[in-house]
Amino acid sequence: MRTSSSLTSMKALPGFASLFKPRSARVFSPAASWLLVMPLLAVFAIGFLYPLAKLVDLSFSEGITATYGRLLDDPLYADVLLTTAAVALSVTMAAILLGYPVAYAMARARKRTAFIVAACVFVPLWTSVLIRSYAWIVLLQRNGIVNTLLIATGLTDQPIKMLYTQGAVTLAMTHVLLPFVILPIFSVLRTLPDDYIRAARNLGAGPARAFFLVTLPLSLPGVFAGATICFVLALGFYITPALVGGPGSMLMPTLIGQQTTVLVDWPFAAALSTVLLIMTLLVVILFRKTLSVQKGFGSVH
Amino acid sequence: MFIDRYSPPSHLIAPDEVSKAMSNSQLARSIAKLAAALSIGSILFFLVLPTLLIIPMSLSQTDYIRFPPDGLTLRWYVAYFSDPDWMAATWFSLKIALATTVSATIIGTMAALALVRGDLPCRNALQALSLGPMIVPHIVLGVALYLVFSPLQLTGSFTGFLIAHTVLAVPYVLITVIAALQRLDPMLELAALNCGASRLQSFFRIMLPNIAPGIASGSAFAFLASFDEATVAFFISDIGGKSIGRKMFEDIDFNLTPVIAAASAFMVAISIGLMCLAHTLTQARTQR
Amino acid sequence: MIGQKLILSSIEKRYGEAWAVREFNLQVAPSEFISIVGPSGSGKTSLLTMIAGFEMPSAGTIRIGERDVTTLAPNKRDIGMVFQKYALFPHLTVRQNIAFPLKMRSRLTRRALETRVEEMLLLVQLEDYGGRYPNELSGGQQQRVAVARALVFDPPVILMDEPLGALDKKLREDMQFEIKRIQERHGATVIYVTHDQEEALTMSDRIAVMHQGRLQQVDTPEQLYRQPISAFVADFIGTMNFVPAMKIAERAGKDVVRLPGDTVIEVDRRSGTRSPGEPVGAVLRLAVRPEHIALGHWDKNNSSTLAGVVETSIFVGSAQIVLVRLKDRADVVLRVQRPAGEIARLTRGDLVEVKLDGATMLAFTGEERRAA
Repeated sequence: MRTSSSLTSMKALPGFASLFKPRSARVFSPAASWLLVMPLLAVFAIGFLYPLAKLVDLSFSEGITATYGRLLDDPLYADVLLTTAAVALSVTMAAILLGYPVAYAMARARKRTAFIVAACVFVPLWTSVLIRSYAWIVLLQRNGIVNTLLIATGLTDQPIKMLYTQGAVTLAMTHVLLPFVILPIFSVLRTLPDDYIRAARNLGAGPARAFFLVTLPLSLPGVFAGATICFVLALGFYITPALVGGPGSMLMPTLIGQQTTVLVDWPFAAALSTVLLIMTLLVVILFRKTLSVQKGFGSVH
Repeated sequence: MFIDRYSPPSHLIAPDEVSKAMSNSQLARSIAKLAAALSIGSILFFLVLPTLLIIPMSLSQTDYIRFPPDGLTLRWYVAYFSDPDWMAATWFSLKIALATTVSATIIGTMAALALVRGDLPCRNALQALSLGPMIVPHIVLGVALYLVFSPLQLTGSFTGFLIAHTVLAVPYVLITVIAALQRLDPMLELAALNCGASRLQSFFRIMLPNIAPGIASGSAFAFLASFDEATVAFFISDIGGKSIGRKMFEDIDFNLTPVIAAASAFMVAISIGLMCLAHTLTQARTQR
Repeated sequence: MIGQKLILSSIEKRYGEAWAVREFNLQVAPSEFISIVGPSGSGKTSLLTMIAGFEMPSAGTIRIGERDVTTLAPNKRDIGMVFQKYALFPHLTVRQNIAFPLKMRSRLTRRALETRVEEMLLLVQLEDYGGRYPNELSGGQQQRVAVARALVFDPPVILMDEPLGALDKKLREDMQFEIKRIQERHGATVIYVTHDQEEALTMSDRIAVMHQGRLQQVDTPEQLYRQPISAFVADFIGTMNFVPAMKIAERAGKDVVRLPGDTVIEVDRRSGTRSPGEPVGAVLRLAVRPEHIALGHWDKNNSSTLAGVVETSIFVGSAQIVLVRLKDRADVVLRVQRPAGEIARLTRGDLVEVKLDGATMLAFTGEERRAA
């Protein structure tokens, strides 16, 4: 068999020259591909991976007992860990319950209504978490709007303590994370063809049955994705619990904040951070399949 | 709504039955619809209330908010714009946000190209890593960055903030540009090559104009990821260099005045203006 | 003349363990219009992407004229291409799309470039549409822009990848003539990939039939229709009926075969159409075109005729198509084409005599399975 001269010469190329030759016109050459990710790798090495490695390293710097041992000994910390998970879970549940109808309306409503609903979802998303937490303080404080309204309507004659409670934290966090649940559900619902529901209706299902037997099961991937994003973000939320929560409602992030700013115990703060980091990564790995971050954010614009 | 299409054709039912059946079922339906609309309406109100509240708060005569407000004043805005601390923080944040937008857009777009069209052995791992800053709790990253920046005296510095915020903003650019690239017909690049364009010409003349809307909205997100960011900024700020987020956090914690509302209104205006701009840019392109 | 010859020798393409193209040899003459047909997955698009330079062959060479382009980058090949969904640049106007290959080559002055683009617009009859964007055009118009963009820099070879696949039937037929007209006037060598054998028959000087990555046969449309080299080609090009038969003797260069129902006929043995040395007793498949089968009145006294039962009879305008199930081989349904109006219409259940003429039939070995 006759082989071409050019082809034999190509096969004879040393390994490194093949780096510069794309395997096909559909892809870049390996060298170009690496060149393109290099800046990202560099900035992530400096600003992400190295700091995290240093953090973990610091948590072991004074011996494992001084940090992790203390964490296990004092039941307070296990308590905080549990509370954090419980708050994250209740925020997630509340966000799904409140978010699903909104996502449904956004996906199904006519153009104009859908636009208004979408605007109501995006406006908070583009408002800084700080500002929203601040607004919740103004709403919930002792002489805030909610208390003024309650007294004015005669529902109570004494202002109720709402701010700096766990309830306030849950409420404000639900508000902040709601768009992150709505968007993934919306993006799944939007792609569901109307025909499925029409078919179900045509086969004799009432509107409620059609929803529970067809729409809801098909939208579950969006629900799971939204729930996972929400839970993960809720675990590591700092600003809102720090501002709206009080000493009675300590969560992992606020505990870390307190260790660094008030007690200035960096190794212990590093250990707490490592625990929170591992917890988050575990959740992400466990629910990796449901978590399509891209799905959620692909619909943001 | 499709529901109406499935009511039986009226000529199949006797006329007087029609009016009775219709009035009953339609009444039930209207009530159900009204209830649904009301509950969705109240959730939407819950969503926008805190943002909308900023405006009356920032215009209120008194230094705490009450309804109805006693009177309107612009003095909190004057206070905000004439306070050197607030202004320093605002300018510092704007500078960082702009620089972050530029660096995150370039780095993110390059990486998105490599992840979608590149020839990389560990593409999935790279993609997971590049989205990492969205998942790792910001407080953990804030503490970690402080530990590294503090000995290098990078806290409160432009460079320190630029590195930290670029890391936080890149995933947003990456996600929007990857989505734009995946929507782009891969045949267009082959057609460009076939027409005699080099790789670079094909990128700048064919790909770039078509993914530009995606890049634009990605960079708008990058700007906000930096400008609205508060947790990491809380840890890497210092007395010399303070972002608007850190300044606001301090004031909310220690000194709750309507100046915060004025500053907030300013920030919200920037955010929403920017998103509207990105939206119009995207729309103008997709119209074609 | 603009067109140049294209020579593909021993082309192979492998993706891991899977072969896309194997042992492919083809010589295309200058200005020839050659179609590559085959079912999907037969390797025809892989072949085209290798000629265009988007993929490299695993082995073999590609030459255009005297140049070896096997490993040349796609943008250096000077090959025009019309893509399946046109791949027009959505952000450029029709005029800018057509000018793009010229700009990339920058051989022309601005004035000459503009003149050339206007010439092309005229050639594809889109002179009033130069300022529009691709999505403001109909499918047929986009198609013509794609053709103009492929031709504008006078490439010696043009590749077309199912260019009419997205158009409806009527428009597709108009465009077939249109493309043929433009190609004849322009003179480029054209490699045209399609899965539609009728389209290939209408347009091509020669047709190459591919199956499972291999070249089955390359010939003029007429030769391919009359003298298919394998049962696959026979079945793929045009409509073909297959009748099982057994070889019972050889006589004066002809095979004597027995058909179902014990009918015996002689079939011409033509060179190259099958392995000639089939032993007596071998099972053969006789191939016969619908227009070569005649139907007659069933005579129950003559047992040596082939009997069939009419399944359906369809009027298709120019002809009448009758589906006939063989009485003695119920799994064989023949498609018979008769000139319309000539004979009284047959109805379901009618018993007919199926008349086969050995001179119009081809024999293939029995093992080859009918292609899906």
